[in-house]
Amino acid sequence: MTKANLPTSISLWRKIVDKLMTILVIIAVVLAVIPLIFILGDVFIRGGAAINIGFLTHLPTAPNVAGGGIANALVGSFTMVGLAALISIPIGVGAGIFFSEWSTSQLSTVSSFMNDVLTGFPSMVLGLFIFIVIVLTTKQFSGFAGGVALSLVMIPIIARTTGESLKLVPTTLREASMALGIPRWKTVLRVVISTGKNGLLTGILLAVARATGETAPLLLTAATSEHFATSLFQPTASLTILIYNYGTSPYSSWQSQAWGAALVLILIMLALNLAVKLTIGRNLTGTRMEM
Amino acid sequence: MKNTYIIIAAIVVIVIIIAGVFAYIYISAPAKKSTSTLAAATVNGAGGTLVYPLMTVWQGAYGSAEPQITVNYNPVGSGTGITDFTKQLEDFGESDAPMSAAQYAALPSGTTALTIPISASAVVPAYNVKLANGTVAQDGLKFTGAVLADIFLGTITKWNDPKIAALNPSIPLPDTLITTVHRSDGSGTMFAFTNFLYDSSSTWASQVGKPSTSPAWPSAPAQIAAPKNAGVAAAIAETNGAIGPLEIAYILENTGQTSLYYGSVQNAAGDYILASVTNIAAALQAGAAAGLPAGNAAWTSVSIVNNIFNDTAATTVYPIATLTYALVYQNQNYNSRSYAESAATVNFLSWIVNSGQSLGKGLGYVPLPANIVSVDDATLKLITYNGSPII
Amino acid sequence: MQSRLLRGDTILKILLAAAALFIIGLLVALAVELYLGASASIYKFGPAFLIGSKWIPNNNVLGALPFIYGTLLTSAIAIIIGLPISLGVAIFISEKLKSHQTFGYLLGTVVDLLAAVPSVIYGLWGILILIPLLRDYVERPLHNSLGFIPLFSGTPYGFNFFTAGIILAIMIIPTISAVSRDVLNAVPSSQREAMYSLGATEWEVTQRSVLPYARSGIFGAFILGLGRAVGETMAVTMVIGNIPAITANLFSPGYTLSSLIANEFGESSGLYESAIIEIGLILFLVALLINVFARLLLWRMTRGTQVKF
Repeated sequence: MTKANLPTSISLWRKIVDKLMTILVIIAVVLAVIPLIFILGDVFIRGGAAINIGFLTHLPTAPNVAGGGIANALVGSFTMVGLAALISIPIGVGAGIFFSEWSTSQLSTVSSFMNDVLTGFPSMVLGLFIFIVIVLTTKQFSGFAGGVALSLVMIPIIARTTGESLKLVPTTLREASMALGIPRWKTVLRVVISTGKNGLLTGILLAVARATGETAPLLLTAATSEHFATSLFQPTASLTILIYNYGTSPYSSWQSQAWGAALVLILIMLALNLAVKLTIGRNLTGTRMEM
Repeated sequence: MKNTYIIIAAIVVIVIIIAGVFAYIYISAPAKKSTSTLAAATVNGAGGTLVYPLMTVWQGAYGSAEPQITVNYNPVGSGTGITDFTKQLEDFGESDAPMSAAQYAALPSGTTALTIPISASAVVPAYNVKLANGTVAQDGLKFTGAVLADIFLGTITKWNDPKIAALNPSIPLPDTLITTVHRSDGSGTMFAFTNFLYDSSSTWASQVGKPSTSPAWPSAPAQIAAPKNAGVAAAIAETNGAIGPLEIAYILENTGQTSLYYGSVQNAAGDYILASVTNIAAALQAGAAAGLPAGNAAWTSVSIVNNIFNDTAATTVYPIATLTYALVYQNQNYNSRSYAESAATVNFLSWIVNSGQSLGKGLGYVPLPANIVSVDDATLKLITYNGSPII
Repeated sequence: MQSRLLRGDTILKILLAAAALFIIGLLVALAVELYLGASASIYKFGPAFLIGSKWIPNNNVLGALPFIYGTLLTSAIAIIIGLPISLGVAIFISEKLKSHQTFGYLLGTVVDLLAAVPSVIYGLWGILILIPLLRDYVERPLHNSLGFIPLFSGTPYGFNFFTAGIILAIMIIPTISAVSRDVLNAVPSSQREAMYSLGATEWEVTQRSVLPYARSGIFGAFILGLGRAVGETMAVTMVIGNIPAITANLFSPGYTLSSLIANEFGESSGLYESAIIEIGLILFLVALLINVFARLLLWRMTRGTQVKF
């Protein structure tokens, strides 16, 4: 075989396209990272000055009074997001599994469509709904109502991402498992979910991040408070409502506390993200299907 | 699998430690001792954002005076405050504008709402404009109600319009387009401002109509609507040539904004007044002297702005001053409320109207003048529980 | 033996179906509550509410069209800008950083942090930093050089559709890219290896083998991002200018359905409150229609190409 007969390397045009797309992709990353640097930088700079141990452990004070903190807001946000997660994870994951494993059933099609519509619901309207259903009937603003409102924000996100992640698990895995005589329910719970668990976790983390950063649903349900909430059925402070109230006030002492609270919120999410990904989602970038 | 157990155990330990820290903080909060005769209770209020910072001051000071009473205030906005009050979700409502006739009609049958002014505020024309000589205009540009109305009607479009120049002959006004800024959300501040414009200009009155928390702003060549006073302040500070109505605390306190200045407004006596705590208090005094209704009557048409609009003798008053009100039911035994809750509510309201007024000065709040305080005290005496007055 | 197996299957199916039913029930309950709250307004204003283009509460002239337009326009801008960027980030981390997994993981976590920023902070940051920046360095130059195009024909003051669209794009990037990343990672290596063995370049592998396989998942990411864009309230309200307008001029202030609700609901009562709830109902319908449209698009795209092996 002469040199002339061997297939030459890839044509120039295809090489150009390849390089071009690489550049475009890098530009996309740069464009995504720039606002990130701006926003996070701003939060760090404005909020960093306000943070100290007292900030995290004291109750709020009036403007220009030293020693104010976000302790009750921290606890409140924790509690309400925790309650929301307790409600939304079983329902969301359950619905998501149903969308993926029984995707041909009519119930699944209708439900998954409605789920998509729910993801686009403004959280303020969800808060209004809970206001009518829970707050008006219990005649009480409460952390419970706030948690339920947040769960309504989380459920569609978890359901959608769970459904999509599980759909990507190759059918061969399911078939292999059933061929071994493992019942369908065990296949779903043990094989399918553990293969798709990274996608599940991403969805749950996304939903938790979203719920922690929500303000509008809490305005009409949990209200706010300057004290620790001693029961779930009391007005409960939260980080986002604090940021909203303090950030739009005319007092610089409160404004810097608002940015400080935002910084705390972001750091907590970062810690949560890292903790979950490192411990349970063992592979760093995800399960590569090696077949 | 062993790894997973270790990790889960670690997480559980961390959660227990964090919970323990929080429990420690909570338990080690100083024990509440009280020498007062009031029984322990919680007082819940909701309403406008204007008094929220003042409420936190009050909660702190009242909490020291009566530690067994917990006060919660939720700044959801005046409208929601009235709605919550009507639905009897709160011990007291709060609003920057008095209740309208429709809102009075929506109250549960057989109940009477008492209106109690608890604090006050003022609206100033805030602006940011670079003058013809390159410097930024400082505080003190002079405006009249008629000129302000024309600006917001869109008839005056440039800063060097002859009508503005006539009021400010020594200022080199530039040929810049005026950008009007106003609130996008409903607000008592807008109510007071449009009240003033309604009185000042018949064109405004016929074109825009009665004062409202969400007025139908006429379109101007350049216009921005931003949510909340903070949004309006930011919009003005960032736009050269902008002018908009702003609540006074956002001028006196907002050290964050650099290019934000405010002008003086002409009052009925003809003086140009730059708003300050003193002249706002004088306005409240003069306005109340003209007469306020009884607490259990309808306060729908109460307006300090109207009361002093034609008062040519009041030389030191700032013309755009406004009260903010607490709303409470005259008969406190509704919805199986306890006596303790009612007594605590009345005690708190009485405290803020008397002892609490001076505490707000550091934050730009104007203390109520003596004549309004006495009206409030009389109103509070009307509150009954099971037929007998509480105070 | 067989009945025991089937029992487990049946129990699981019932539990999961209950979860799916819950979602349907939730949406129905939401729709019913909205309708009940809006009924006074629906009765009073009728269909004119939907197509009217003026919103003057004092004269009882209410038309929702400018707000529908605002919601659609800002969401469109957000998707047009945000989707390519998100996909680019996802492709970069998943395909280009195969050999630098730690860096890819870090970059992914950092982009995900954007999802944790509260929408209030986006709003404050938008009004304090983004608006002057965009107005002076992007919008004014665009207006000066390309002002003859209707899109850029208005004088920019910063508070407009364009800024709102940009801030929405930033907000949906972490959602779409996080989900897309996982989707791309889940594509079996055999897909890629098959293409490489045929002599394809990196981009061709991505374009012709990975992306089509992941089409459904990426579409799911797109739906989540779109949902966020349509429903986002706080950040948009701060920067959009809040003046109803129907215009092709991107630099004009505008108003969205959710901003209207956020601005007006707290202060409204009686008939006006009912009108605002009707706006919420309209937003629900808009989201419904967008999803129907998107589903049809997906069905056309994946017709006959269900990848199952």
